Amino acid sequence: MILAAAFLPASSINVFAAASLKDAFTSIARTFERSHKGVKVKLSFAGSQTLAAQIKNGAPADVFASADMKSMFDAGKTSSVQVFARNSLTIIIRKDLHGVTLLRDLSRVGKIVVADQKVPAGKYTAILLAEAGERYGSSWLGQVKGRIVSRELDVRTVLARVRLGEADAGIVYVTDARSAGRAVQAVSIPSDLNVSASYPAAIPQGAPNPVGAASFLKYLHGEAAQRILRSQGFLAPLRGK
Amino acid sequence: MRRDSAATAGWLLLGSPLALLVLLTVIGLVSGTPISTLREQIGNESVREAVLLSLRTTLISTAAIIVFGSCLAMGIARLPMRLASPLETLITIPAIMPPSVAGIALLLAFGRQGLVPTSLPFTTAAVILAQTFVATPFFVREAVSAFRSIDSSLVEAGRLDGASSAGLARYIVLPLALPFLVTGAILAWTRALGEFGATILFAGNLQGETQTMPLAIYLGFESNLDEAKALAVILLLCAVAVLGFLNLFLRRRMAFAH
Repeated sequence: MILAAAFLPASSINVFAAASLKDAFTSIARTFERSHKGVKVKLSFAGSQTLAAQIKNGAPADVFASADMKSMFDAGKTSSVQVFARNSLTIIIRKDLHGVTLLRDLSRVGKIVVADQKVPAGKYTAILLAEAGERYGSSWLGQVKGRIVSRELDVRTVLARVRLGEADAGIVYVTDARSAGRAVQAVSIPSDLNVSASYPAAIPQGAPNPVGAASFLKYLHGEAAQRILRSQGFLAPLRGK
Repeated sequence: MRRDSAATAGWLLLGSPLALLVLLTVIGLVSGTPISTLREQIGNESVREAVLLSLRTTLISTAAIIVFGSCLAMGIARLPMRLASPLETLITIPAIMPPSVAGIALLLAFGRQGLVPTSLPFTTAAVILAQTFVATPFFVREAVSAFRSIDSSLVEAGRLDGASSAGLARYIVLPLALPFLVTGAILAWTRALGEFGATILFAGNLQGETQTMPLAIYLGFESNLDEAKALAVILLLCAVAVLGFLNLFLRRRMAFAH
């Protein structure tokens, strides 16, 4: 009996999601399972490019939720691609450091840590700094770049560095800063300089359970899931496309 | 004689899965990296900086390990067993610690908020410290057994003949221990060269400062596979060259000794 239950083709949905979605998707999967009895959501989190490479090499993903469009393209053929959330960047400051309240002040802190340009968060950071450099001048940009002591392999490490107090400041997603609560201070970035990171989700070609995937995607765009995303600091997707 | 070679072939056949595993993996890497890719990538600045940084830092960490490690090993070898073995266990800890654990431990010990607060993290010195930490056991353990294995009557005879402490070390202990010390140094050096986990956590990742070959390989894997493959081949070549040198050296010593 138990064996039979274990091997029955119980409906399960494999969801591959970007690392920055970890908290939100864990909650969404739980509420989805509650409203879809007998369906199991299996989550797999990693950097978007890593997941894209896995899917391209035949990993059995039903849903792929990426932190950028590029990784979505890299994952190969997909269907029903749609942006379900947006994120933006924020500066985080070591808890016990005072006097940093603006993006501009970044040139005065001791040690800055950012994400490497090879991961989405690092790519957005590079765009942000270039834009800010246009506004505050090239010497400002030079000072900031000179204070970057490490380019981390994923954005969560940036958060950990500042949280530990090893670095004075870092640039992460708004949602990362929120997840840290009071362990770090957030300094917001002027909205006209900030970037908007779009999170698309889709059903990869060869998904073992496309029907389940479609129902998960529908749920993801629905009110309950969107409320969870909003509570984690994600922004609503831009409508009218 | 014929039965002997048949037995040898049998043993080799039974053991072949392991040899095949290593062989195929190496061939996979080398055949997947054409010379043109290698030549092209050596011109790449981040590749060049990673190679130079790796060579520079591992030479310093290995030198530090040899100097301090020899003294430490000599001290341990002279201690009675009951005092020596706790020290040996202590010095072995880095070898049994997963490198990521070593990285966190180094941060908690020498980070800005650490037990002994320093401003080491994110510097080249941190890379060297991480390498020294993880590679130390490989040299010290070899050196301790080398010093222990030296026949004490030889040293005694030298002393009776009026040799000074320095003279004993120079003309008796060092020549006898040398093959072991060289083996230990090369093991430590290759371990330092491959160091990844402790470096990324304790020293961070910045081109030219802390981005050693293993770090650049990991980053390249997800974005620029050619860069990753070229670095991997260079790393492998360095290690194989040194290992070859070691074998040659040991064989010549043996021949000399006989």
